[in-house]
Amino acid sequence: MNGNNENKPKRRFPWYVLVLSDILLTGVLLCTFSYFHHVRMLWGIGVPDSGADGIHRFEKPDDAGTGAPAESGISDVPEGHVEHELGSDGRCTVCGVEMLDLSGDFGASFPQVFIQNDDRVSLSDNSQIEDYAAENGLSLREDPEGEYIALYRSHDIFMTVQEISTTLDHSAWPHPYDVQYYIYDIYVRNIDNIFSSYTTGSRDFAENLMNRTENQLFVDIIAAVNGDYMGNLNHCLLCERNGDILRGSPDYIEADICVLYYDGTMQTITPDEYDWEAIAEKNPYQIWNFGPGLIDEDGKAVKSFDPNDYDYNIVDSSHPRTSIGYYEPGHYNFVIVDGRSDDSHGVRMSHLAEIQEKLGCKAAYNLDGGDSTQGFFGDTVIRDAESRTDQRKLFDLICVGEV
Amino acid sequence: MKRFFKRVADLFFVLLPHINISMALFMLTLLVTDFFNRAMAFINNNITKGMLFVFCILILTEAIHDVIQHRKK
Repeated sequence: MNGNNENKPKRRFPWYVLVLSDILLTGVLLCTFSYFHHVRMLWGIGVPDSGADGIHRFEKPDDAGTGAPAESGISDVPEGHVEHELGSDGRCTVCGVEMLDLSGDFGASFPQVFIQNDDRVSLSDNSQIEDYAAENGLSLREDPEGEYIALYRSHDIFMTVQEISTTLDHSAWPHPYDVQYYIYDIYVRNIDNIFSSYTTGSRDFAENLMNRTENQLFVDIIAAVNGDYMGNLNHCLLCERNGDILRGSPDYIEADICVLYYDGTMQTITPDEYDWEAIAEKNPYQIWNFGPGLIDEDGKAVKSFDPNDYDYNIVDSSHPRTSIGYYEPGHYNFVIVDGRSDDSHGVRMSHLAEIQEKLGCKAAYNLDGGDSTQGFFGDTVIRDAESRTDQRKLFDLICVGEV
Repeated sequence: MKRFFKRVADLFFVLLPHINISMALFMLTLLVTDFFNRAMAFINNNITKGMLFVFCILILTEAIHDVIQHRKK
């Protein structure tokens, strides 16, 4: 019986069935991979997982920021002193009385830049902005290649957006190329005026993210840029938004992170420097995980980037870019670089670092770029994925707004 | 029982080349997509590293099996 079975001719499948089955199996592998790489891992971030050391939320302390300074201590007030003289600290130079509103986390650091009542000023014309600044004693950064396209000033926020159109000449390219970038110069009275708009579900268009955040948090978003694309678990191992740890990686990180603390300071940290205990002790408010950091400890632009963390394609090619910069507590910037168009070629990472160095930042950090680079001012789109028919959906935005 | 295992082993070594072809195509696809968009980390992630490990084991298994068969002939 068995011998008969062994002598039966073996049934062979036609060759095309074998080829089709191999291709089908490849398709199944790719679909399974895509599910775990894109869908389940990218978007499954709704609930804090480990949290770092079990901490899921950092609260704003009562003494966040620099706060209003103590009494000036001037004791010898001359007799007959009636008319106060405004000093740069917002107090009378003679008697020390507060002449400007010094309240808020950083209100005492630069009281002149904010409006002293509840008025709001929004301008979008370069000459109007320059005139307004001159009339109100506001100093604007001058750049022969730039012009101001937006200004917003209120009791809590002072912000300008400057468009720079320049030509770069780089040895790696056969001819000079044009670049357009935008500098958001931002002063806030409270750290809460900078916040994240994000989704833990499916990514969405930036406008929808902003609308949802305005309705949920009862805020008024004045400006926004893209964040670090926090849904990408392959890059973003550590993620904190508005004090909430959405994803914790207390043991290690694989790329530079940027931490904005409740006291207004901002710091970029490399994987070698990473120490979760030290970060948690300083009360972090936002943590972005993309990078790299652009400014070194001496305030100089970083020239080379660790190839283990940031490969050639990301660093040395010209792309649209987004970065956040830090001058002092309460004073920050966003720099977004247009690219992949005839008007603007984009920049390499080292050039983005040079831009932030020239602006005088103490720390600066690269955020997600390419078609993710999107910038808004009110209802105006400052930079979008113009070269594509579809706007890229995002997971998160960094916003400046009235709270 | 021994016969059963032999049949399973035979079936496995019949299917193994096809599994390896599919795995190779899968890896090639990831390599090409990674070339165009490194930021998505198609290669540099734990899933792909795991798949690569499995692929290596399967290739080794098939290679050793082929060598043994060849020597038997």
